[in-house]
Amino acid sequence: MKHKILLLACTTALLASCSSTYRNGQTPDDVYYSPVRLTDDDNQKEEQKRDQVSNQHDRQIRMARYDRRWRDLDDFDCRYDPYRYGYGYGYYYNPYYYPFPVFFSSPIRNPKNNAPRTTSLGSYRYEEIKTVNPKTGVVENIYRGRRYNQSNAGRVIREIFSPSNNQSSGGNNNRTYSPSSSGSRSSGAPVSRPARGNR
Amino acid sequence: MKKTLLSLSLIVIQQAYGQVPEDAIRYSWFPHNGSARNMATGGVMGSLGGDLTALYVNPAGLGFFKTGEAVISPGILMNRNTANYRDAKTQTDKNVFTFGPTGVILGQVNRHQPKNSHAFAIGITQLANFNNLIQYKALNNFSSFSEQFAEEFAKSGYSINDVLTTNSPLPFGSAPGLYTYLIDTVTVNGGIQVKAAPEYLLDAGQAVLQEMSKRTRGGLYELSLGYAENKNDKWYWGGSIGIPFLSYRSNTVFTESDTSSNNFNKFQSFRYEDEFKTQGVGLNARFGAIYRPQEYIRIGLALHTPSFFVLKDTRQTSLSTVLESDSGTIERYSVSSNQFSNGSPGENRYYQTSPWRAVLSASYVFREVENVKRQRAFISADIEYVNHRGSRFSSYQEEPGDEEKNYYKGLNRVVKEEFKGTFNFRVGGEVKFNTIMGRLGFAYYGNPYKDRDLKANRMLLSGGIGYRHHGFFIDLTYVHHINRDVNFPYRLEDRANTFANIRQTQGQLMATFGVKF
Repeated sequence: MKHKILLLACTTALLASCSSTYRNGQTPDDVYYSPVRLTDDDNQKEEQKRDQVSNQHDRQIRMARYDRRWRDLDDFDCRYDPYRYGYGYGYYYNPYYYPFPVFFSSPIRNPKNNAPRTTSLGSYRYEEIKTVNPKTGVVENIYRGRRYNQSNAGRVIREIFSPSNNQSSGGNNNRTYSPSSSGSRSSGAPVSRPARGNR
Repeated sequence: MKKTLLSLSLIVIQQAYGQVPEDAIRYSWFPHNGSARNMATGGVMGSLGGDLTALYVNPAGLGFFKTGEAVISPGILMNRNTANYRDAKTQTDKNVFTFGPTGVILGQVNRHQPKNSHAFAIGITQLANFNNLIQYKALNNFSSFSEQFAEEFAKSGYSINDVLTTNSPLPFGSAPGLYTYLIDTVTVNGGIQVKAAPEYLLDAGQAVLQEMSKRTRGGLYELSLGYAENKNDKWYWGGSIGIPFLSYRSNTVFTESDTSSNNFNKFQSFRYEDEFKTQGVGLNARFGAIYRPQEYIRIGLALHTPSFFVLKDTRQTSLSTVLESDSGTIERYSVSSNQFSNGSPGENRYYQTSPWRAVLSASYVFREVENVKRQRAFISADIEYVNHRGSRFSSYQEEPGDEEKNYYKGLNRVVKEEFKGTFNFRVGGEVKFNTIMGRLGFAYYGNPYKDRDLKANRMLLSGGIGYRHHGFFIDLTYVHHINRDVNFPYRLEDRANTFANIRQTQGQLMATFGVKF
């Protein structure tokens, strides 16, 4: 929090130290109207920019006389230059070119457990009930609201309900312990539970 | 053999676990955060323009700038949460620092056609603030927090030995639960079932005392670059590229205890602590247009692409259990999830895509003239559509296995079923007296949950003042948030669920300092 306040104070001081073009006269409000602001400096900058572009082009022509690769910028035929190094077309004459990725070995670390954060997705679903429409005779799926228990009032029966078939999350709705018989599926070493009766 | 493998894969697939659906809504259902001036007018920026906030709502609004501007927008958020959990109310307070759009806008006029201009802007803002504290406490005679572990373990198809390893498939809940005997296997009517220790109390008609405390930190920040063109002071086009940075941390402590003096009911208490962190970076874009059919009138339309995030979750939990033996003696066990996740917190990488948005807006700006003494007022309104059901999760792996693919397929299906698209409304206006301005605004954000039993919405009432002179400006705003939401301490598939209704009031103080150049 202190760092944030310090950062805020510094930024505000920096803003306050900025000299505004509109120190005298009205301060424009761009929501309503943004005034045109043209100065002599703008014209000079435009000319300088034009000269700069021209100079760059001259320099490129001069460089192309000595090095083929500079010609590539304007002339597509140069792409077939056998001395051209790069990732474009053609065969690589580059003596340093190696066609396979290079891997560097890194120290081996204990792998991270990447089990995702879990929740029972079935608990989010609506109950789907198949009913026959008495008028049309067509079987329809009706989504019924989920069941909530929001109060301790009254005698409550701790009912375990089974979702409809297509909403089932494994068919194990009474929390039966039924591990599959394929043996251990974990790559880790066993962790022993403490013995019961530990005070 | 084939049948065994098939049934095994079905069990694993149907388990359908992944990131949780609440992750989707956290990064899409939050109120708009703008500059102090913008927040005072309800956050309207779909057609108004002339504010750095346009970078995050409708970049075409930057096209109104023919001048330069630098702004900074700090703020304070004062949270007050009232949780109603099973008819018991608990109140908590938390004050946090926040900030709105901070950056620079450079407007440039075409010298040959002064009615044409373009503008470039760069800014950073906090889109969402996650700093909060939610607590509640109540008796529960229906279900236990620990039942989610029993359910998870029973449905997993794993044996106890599968789960209790140094690289467990269920390291955060079931493994600590089994290790500390909070859940265990018991023989019932000749069959073996998985049972949580507090269930012995609940089955006997007693209640357990539940306490939940969730402290969250971090925010969703976005660095944005925008460009806009103004054609003849009539049409404004703009686009921006955003790089959102996500940092979310939560510390959840849940305790459950037996309030009776009976030492023979097998359970006394447990304390479960969950330390969770999500970090990542993303990419998005916004496009917009504003049309001025005639003086004073502005109509705007903006589209926000989904944000594409690469995220990393880090998680560790700890569990301490106090049980009672048949002879009435007290047994204590405790363990950290690190023991089941190779000695360090678990890590999980994935992609998440947030929903797209669209904003339609209109404004009436009274007197768009250069002389600020004659500028009088504006009023503006935005309608925003957010497709909350459009969030998607996918694996970070180049070639994910079938099990992982099905994690995310199931999760995306739940997101589509659980959430819905919402319309958000913002309206606000300003009255201007030369250098001083007064503002009022209102905003409403609709319920993203499809389930009618889950009541949620956000309302923002705002007001503020501004001063603009000598090339500087300062705006001060107060926003009063009235939010409703729900919080599920745990979810069970095979039993009715319980949740807390959260009523949150927030006082937000914001200031914006700016300089014109």
